[in-house]
Amino acid sequence: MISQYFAQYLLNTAALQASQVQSLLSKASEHKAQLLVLAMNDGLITAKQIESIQEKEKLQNKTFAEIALADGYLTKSQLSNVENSIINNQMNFVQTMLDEHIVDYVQMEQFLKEYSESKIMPIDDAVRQLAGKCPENVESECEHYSEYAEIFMRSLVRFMDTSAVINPVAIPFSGEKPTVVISQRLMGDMIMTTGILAEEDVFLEMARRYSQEDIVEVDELAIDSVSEFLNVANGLYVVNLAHRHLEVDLEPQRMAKNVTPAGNQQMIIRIDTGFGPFDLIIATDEFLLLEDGQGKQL
Amino acid sequence: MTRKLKILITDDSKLLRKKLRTELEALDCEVIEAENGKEAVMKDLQESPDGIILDIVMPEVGGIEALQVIKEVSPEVPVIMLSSAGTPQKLMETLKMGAFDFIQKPYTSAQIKRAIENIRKRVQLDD
Repeated sequence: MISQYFAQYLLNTAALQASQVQSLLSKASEHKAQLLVLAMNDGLITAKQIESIQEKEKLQNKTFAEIALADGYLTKSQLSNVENSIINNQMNFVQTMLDEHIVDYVQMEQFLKEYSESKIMPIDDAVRQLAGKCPENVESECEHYSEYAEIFMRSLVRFMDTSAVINPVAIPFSGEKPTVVISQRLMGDMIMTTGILAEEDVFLEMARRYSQEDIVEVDELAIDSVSEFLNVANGLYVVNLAHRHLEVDLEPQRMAKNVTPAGNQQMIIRIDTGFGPFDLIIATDEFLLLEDGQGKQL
Repeated sequence: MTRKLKILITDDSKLLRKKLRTELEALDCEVIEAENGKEAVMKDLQESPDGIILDIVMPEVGGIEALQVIKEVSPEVPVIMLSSAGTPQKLMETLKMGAFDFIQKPYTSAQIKRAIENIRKRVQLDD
């Protein structure tokens, strides 16, 4: 039931505030999804049954699994399947919501039910909501941007092992901390430039997560790492376009520090992750205009 | 006893070269590196590698242009293209130009191992 976009769904529907999601994401790695969350996720047990088991847990010296089996809520085979299920970041996110008392089991069950019945694609919905607030008119590009954002978010989960959401109410970075930008242009049957802008501490964490190297400063390895991540995400998008007979080539990435991206039909998408926020930038042309000493082509 | 394969890695990313070097050395290969297509062509002439791993998107001279030149000067050297932009058209284009194989980034260790085994078989046949 829970996909990687559950947190995004809760944010889009205003069930949670952006600040709450940000806080939960940063704590989620410390909360491992428990058996009862996994069982509820598989639709094997209801919130009322969980509450009944928890009441008994307080009175009897038995575990959740033992009571669930004894009371016939779960069979041995179901329990074994639940115990062996793969835990993803979103399940840990759900566990964090429960542990932090943001919701109880009844509310969570309701959210999960509504989410599974919803026909709206959470990332597409978030991008379109942002497009409506964008100072540039990006309506004509919204479909491409949304499709790209979806692939980018999947890449983030896959290669950086984090839950992530698009934050609809973010304010730009203050400029107090140094920032790094990486961009890459896609040229061919369609033209687009995508990039990542992050404050140095978040940039470094991205570099460490992608490379799995112990990187401590924004050096060549750190820049290569985030550039390569962007390149791989863009490659996946290009392959996706090729399936629709759109041939697009990638150009070498560019990098600059402390610059403000300035592209046409530019959309800045703030992404909150478990390790901090960064901006995904998408425009119809190169937004990283390099002047003397500002940056370089990689 | 089989001799060590000498493999030329060409990628503008220091990270990629470092990761690939580790993979290849674990497969008992001798590794040399180039940062772009121009350097790859020069190292191919100077070092006569048994195989080349070649990125496509690189500054100055990219992988496609480098492949073209390498195939002219050393047509027998197997060249494995390694790129994030693994579209069917790019695959066909490079195979037609004489590329030995094409691996889409992000690669897996198994893909690299298989590619090196294929180069080893080819080299053994040539020897």
